[in-house]
Amino acid sequence: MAMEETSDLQMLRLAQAGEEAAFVALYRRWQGSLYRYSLRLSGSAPVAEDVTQEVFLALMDGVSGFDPALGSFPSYVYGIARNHVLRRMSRERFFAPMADEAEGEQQGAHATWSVQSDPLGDLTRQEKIESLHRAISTLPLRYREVVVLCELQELSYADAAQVIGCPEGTIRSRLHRARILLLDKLQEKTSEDVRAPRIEPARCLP
Amino acid sequence: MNCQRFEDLIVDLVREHGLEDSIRSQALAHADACPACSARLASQQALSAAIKLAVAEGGEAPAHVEEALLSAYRLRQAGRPRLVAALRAFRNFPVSYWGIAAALLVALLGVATYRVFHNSQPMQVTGSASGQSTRETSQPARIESAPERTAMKETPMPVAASMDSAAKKAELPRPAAKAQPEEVEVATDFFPLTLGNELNTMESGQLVRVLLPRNAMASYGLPVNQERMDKPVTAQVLIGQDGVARAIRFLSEQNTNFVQTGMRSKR
Repeated sequence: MAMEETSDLQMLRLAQAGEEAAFVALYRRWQGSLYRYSLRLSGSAPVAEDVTQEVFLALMDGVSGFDPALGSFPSYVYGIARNHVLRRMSRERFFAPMADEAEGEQQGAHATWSVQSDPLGDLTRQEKIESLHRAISTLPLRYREVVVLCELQELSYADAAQVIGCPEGTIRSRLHRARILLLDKLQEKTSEDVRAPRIEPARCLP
Repeated sequence: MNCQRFEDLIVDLVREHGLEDSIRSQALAHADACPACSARLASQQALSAAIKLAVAEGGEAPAHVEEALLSAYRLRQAGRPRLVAALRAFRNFPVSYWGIAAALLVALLGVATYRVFHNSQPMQVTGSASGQSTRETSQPARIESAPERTAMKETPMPVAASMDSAAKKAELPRPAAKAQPEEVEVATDFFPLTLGNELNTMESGQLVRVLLPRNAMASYGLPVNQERMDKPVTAQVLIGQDGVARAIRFLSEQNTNFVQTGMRSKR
């Protein structure tokens, strides 16, 4: 049986039984997603590396034990990664500056809908991505992690709810508010760029 | 559908899942009719488009992470057969041997406990703190300590003593091994650093060897050799069990030109 067709659970069992090929295949299947998730949540590449490693060490040991009856494999591995990221964040305080929780709540509560149809319209592709990541990193954690899980990692509401440990309705409402906050931040950024004085090239007089 | 209902559904609408077709078409019809909601929908769709770009963009864990994990995996797998064998041996160990092993363990523990208690007896010196006439002061101080402990030159050295008895300890004969010329020291009497009552309450303490500026001796009325002012002087501080320094005495080697007035040999 080719490893590509094997389910995550089967690969995990094989890896824990000593099948190195299964461990490698499982790692290659999940490392990118876990690394990106940790990176987007923490904003730190070294932390993302460490967390990716910690997740697979935990899988290798089978300490907590994955039970398919309790949830899906993605929610299980993302849950491990989330715990490690949050632990590192609380320990190291490395993460990017972000709005105060209360401020975020307030902004979300009074957010007004934009009439600007494309807040990132004038930017290039790479600038759009960078602006989006910057805006996401300034979201309060509760909104940031929902955006990362549901939008960037494309998890379902149910899986995201299992990862975070809250009801699906909470995920839905947080995502709704997070998107409004994101649009506000992106539009602020665009209007700041428009207002910024343009530096004209000057020529030295002889 | 009104604007409020549209707002509630807009995220599901742009994410294109979790919405029934009928509700979806109603929402889109509302957006067509309402310019404000149409603008909201457009901005949310622009955001979703940007998010899609960001999803496609993304790095992967560096190669060294995989290498490190594989090394760890191989190590654990290599260790597993030994662990399993050890567990099997443990399980198959004859029951009769367990009794012998337990008895040996108990005996070892007994010996270890005896040695620990025997060696950890502090050097107990009984005596009175001040010069009051008590039975202890009229008799030589009694030291209960292993000889090697008494001979220990380096501090901290556990003692249970008052100031006088500690001074008497300094007069006690040392074992032969200590009577070598290079180790001979002379010491002053102990000078109290606290009031007399506090000395009486001291149950145990430590002698700590310190280096002090030579002019510290003048503070206790001792003559100071002016020629050696730049060299520090060794002192022993008697520290009680509460961490408070109780007394101090100054030491010097006999072969130095130290002013030895009021000093006694520690030999």
